[in-house]
Amino acid sequence: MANIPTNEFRPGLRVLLDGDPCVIVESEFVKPGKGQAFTRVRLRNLITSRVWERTFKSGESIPSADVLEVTMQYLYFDGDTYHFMLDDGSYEQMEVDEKTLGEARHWIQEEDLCEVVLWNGRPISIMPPTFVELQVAQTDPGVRGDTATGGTKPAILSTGASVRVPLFIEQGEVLRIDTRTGEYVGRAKG
Amino acid sequence: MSDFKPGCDTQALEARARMLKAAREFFDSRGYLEVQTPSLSRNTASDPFLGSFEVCEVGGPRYLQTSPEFHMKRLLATAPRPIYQICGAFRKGETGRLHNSEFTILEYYAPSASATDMAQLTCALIDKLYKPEEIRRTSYRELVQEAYGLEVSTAGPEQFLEAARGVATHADAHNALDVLYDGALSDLSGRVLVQGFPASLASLAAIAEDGSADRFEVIINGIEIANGCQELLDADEFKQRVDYDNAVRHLKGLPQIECDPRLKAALSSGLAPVSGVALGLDRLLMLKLGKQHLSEVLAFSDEIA
Repeated sequence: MANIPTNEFRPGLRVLLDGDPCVIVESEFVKPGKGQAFTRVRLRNLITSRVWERTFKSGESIPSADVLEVTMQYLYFDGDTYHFMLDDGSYEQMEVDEKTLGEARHWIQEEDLCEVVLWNGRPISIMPPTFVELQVAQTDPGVRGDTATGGTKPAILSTGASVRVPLFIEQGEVLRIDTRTGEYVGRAKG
Repeated sequence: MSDFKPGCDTQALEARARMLKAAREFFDSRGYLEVQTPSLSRNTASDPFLGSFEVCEVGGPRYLQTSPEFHMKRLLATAPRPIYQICGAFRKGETGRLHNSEFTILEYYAPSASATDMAQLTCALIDKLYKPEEIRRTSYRELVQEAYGLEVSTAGPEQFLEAARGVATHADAHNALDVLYDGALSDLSGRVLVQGFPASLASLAAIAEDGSADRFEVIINGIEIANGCQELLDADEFKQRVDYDNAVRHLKGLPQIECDPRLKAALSSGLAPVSGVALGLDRLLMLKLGKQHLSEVLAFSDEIA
């Protein structure tokens, strides 16, 4: 695998650090007075999403990571793993376990398109669509006309996710959810 | 190509022109002579952590100068009088937020002045070019003590290394002091005058009576703006320091740098006591305009030059 020297570090570059694939978030050249130059780097671990801060001597190099971002369609859950299919017309399928899927499992429905990070050809993280539309499976009866008080109540969605919704929302309604925050945005249109 | 345009705005171009003019007024009114010395030379600085661009020429390599120091000292050895120069300086591999491989240096020397005199002059110059500001005077020792609770004169190498590891993951026995100093600077705001550097960080400064390097740095908001010193005059000591730099270079697999025979001869001829300062004009302009990146005050920075 190619080694990348510090002077080629750029935001967005994928590298291997301590055995984990990471993406460089920020890289700064530092030269203290008469001393040896170094590069201060902030990297996001692509498996854990943790951000690391590291420094490297100038001229040091680290291996690049064979990381690819692809769009995949969520197919079904077989009770054990989640099945996805590449959206490039190849029909190639991959299995993803619950741990790798993480938070995304609260939001995706069959046929949803997700951004998937592949490392050495295997999925390591799944990003659900930013906005999803999900049906309310269970909530307390709606309080009609109460659009002014701004109160909320819990609701369970068809995927099993729990969100806070306004008091007027009824069971069976389809809601628009922001998956980045897990918050209710509004009623689905149409 | 769509990036033919300069990286800075007109305001920055105008502010640069004003700053250059003000710098010349400052030195002209004090009887300094403006000089011009070559950018290309057969010799260059030996500091292990200064990279020189090598240029092919018939009869051997030439180097783009990392600062005009060598030639200016050769001038001083024959005609001792206050001189200054504003020129491009070149450092290989230095590109970043606060670095550009070609940058503008303002370098000045005054015979019989002490490092402290030059520190004072430098502060007056910065008052004029940037803004008047209160100065905090401190020492290398005090900065390291403050930031890490380490006493430079008594702490062992392991303690330096341990503290340095806490600041930067690449720290090792060789660079621990640099890492600690850099880490201590990053927390400073306002203008700070640092003196009393360890002799190991002397470069071409004379050694003071207390054994420290007789040099100073002016730091503004954690950024090194100027550094100056009482210059080393002893030709043999100069040769020894170049030899030492070359030994370090050898260990690090860096190219060997010949001891400049002409500078050595100039020192041997009896260079009178002199102090000198180098100031980074681009950085000062960046601070003046409240910019965060050098490329915002350079017409064409490394990325687009």
